[in-house]
Order: sequence, then C-alpha cells, then structure tokens
Amino acid sequence: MTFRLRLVAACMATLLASGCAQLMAPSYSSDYASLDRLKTTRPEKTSVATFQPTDPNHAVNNLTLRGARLKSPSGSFAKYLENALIGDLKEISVYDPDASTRIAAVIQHNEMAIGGMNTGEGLMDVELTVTRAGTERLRKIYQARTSFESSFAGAVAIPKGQSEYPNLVRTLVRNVYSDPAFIAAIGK
Amino acid sequence: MTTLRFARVAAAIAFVAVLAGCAHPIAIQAEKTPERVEATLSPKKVAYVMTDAERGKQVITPGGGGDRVSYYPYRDLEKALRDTLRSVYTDVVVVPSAADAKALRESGASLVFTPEIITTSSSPSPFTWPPTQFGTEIVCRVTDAEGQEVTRVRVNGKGNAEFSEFKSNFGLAANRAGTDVAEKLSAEIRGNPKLR
Repeated sequence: MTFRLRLVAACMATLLASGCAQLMAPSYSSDYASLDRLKTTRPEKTSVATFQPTDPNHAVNNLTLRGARLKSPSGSFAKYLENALIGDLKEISVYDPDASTRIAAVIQHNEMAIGGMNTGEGLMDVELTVTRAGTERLRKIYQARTSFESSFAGAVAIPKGQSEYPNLVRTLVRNVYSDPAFIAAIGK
Repeated sequence: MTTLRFARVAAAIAFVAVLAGCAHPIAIQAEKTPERVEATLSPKKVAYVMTDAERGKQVITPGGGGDRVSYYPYRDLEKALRDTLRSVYTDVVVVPSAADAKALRESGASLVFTPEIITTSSSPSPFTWPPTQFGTEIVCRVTDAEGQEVTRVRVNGKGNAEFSEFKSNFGLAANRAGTDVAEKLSAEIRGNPKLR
C-alpha cells in the first residue's frame, strides 16, 4: 500500500505542475513587419474606443483550456486587444487619444481549442469599425485562425494553449494592418 | 510481485514517462522592457534582422524532474529586442535579411543589428517541471548600411523563480531573464561609442 501511495503521489506531483490552475495569457507582441509597412502608408492620427464586450463574464472574456481558466493580464480579452492596438499605434507614432479618426471593435468569437489529440487551434472573430469625425469609413469582420502542435496530455496541451494566445491576437492584428480597406480608412 | 500488479505499476510508470517525455511549452517574453525617453534618444534609424524561420524556431531545454520545456526564443523576445533598440534610437524597423541590400537601402537604416539568441534552463526539483533558473544570452552583430561590421555586442540575462511563484505562469524565470537581458543590452548599446 505504501508503495502504491508513493506512486500516486509522484504522479500527482507531475500532473499538478500544470493542471487546474488559473493561467495568465502572455503579453502581446506585434507583427512588426506588418506594423512597419503600415507606418509607410502615413496614417492619420488615430484614437481607440473602448473595445467590447467589457463584461468580464461574457463568453469571449472567459477562455478555458481543458477546464483551466485562461485569464487576461488586462482584466478582459477585449481590453487585451484594445491595449494591443494602442501599443501598436504608439509604436508608429500614430496614436492620439483625441484624434477624430477612431477605431472601435467588438470581439464576436475568442477561443483556444485544445481538445484535439495532436493539434490545437486559435479562433478569433472581431468586428472592427473606423470612423472619422463621426462618419463611418469602415465596418468589417476580421478573422484569425491559428493552428499549433498539441497533445492528448493536458500537461502539454494546456500550457501550449496558454503560450499560443498572443500569436492568435498577432495574427488577427496582422490581417487588419495588411487590409487595403483598413489602410484607406485610417489614411489621409 | 504478481503479474497483474507488475502490469499495473508498469502502466502507471509508462503514463508518467509519456508525460515526462513531452516538452512542456512556456512563453519567455520579458516581463518589462527598457523605458523609451524621447529626450535621450540617438537620432539614428536602425534595423534589426529577424526572419520568419527564426520566429518559428522552437528550442527545447531542460526543466525539472527530468522534463524539458519548449519555447520560441525569437518570436517571444522580438518585442524585448525591438523595445531595447527603441530605448536608444529614434526609429527602429525590422528587415528580413542583413544581406538584402535593396531592403536595407529602402529602410534608410544606418545600423543593422543581427541577433543570435542562446538560452539555458534548469531546475533542481525532482517532481515539478517549470524551470526555476533561466539564462538568455543575446549576441548582436552590428553592421553599417553597406554591410561592413561595426562591432559585436554580447549580453547575458538571468532569471530565477521559486515553484511557489508559478501560480499562473510557468515561464516566470524565463520572463525575468528576458527583462534582465533587455536592460543589459540597452546599457551595452548606450555605452558603446560606435553605436551612438
């Protein structure tokens, strides 16, 4: 019995190193090549509205990885995306909180799917709006789909899903920055 | 030991071994990056080289308990590298190759930083896999716009974290190493007269 207890304890210690905890999404890092290209188009000064939904209990702000909750360091994933856009616009010296050109966004879908045996997926749909002096210049739904190597073992799949979240947001933002319609909407 | 008991024990050991054989993914971004103070910036425009192949390069190093950890050093530390250069220079852009003379000319960069990132990790724990010690070394070959080497810069960052701190982030030691190496790289570049 003692031997069996020791074995169970060793197994639990191994598994507890990753499972059941609240996990924090890593910080965002931009797709700098697309951001540098956006800068060369000389956009207008742009502000960013509060991205929606702000409700921390909304489904898009509540991600789980096989039962373990993935938290946003910004409080919600809408705020995570909003901060990502603000950081990027500051990086290319375009951000101005008082600018009349304004970007707003509503996250419609936000998911890290790690139920598969070998592959995980990130899925994000965002409706983005650009207005200038109150006039709408763009309203479009942008999608991001990422796939990554995963595992049947939660000890691998869960931290993998956690570490891949910034890549999902980076992919979405790259799709936005590369879109001629978006470039025209924030352009002069 | 009966055959049945032996089979059960073997199955349990095999299960743990399968988990132990996998590399546990972590993210190694810096916790903080050097501050950009506009008044102290060098008025130069510089570029750094990073390819998509580098961003997609996965590295596996030791964790605790005989396990290993996997991560993407270039993808995860690109922001720290860029923020470090932005803490010294007015304008920073990324280019896909130091050998692409046309892209370099078009970028207008007067210096080109080509980084190599080397990482190490370890943990003395026999039961838990997150690394409690992490080392990040960045070696930058710096060239001018014509491709001539100006200098080389080498810095080492270290990060430590105790298991009790791994509440929601198993890459904490690596994140701290990223912060340390970015601060040291910024100071090293500022202190090098060839790079001002």
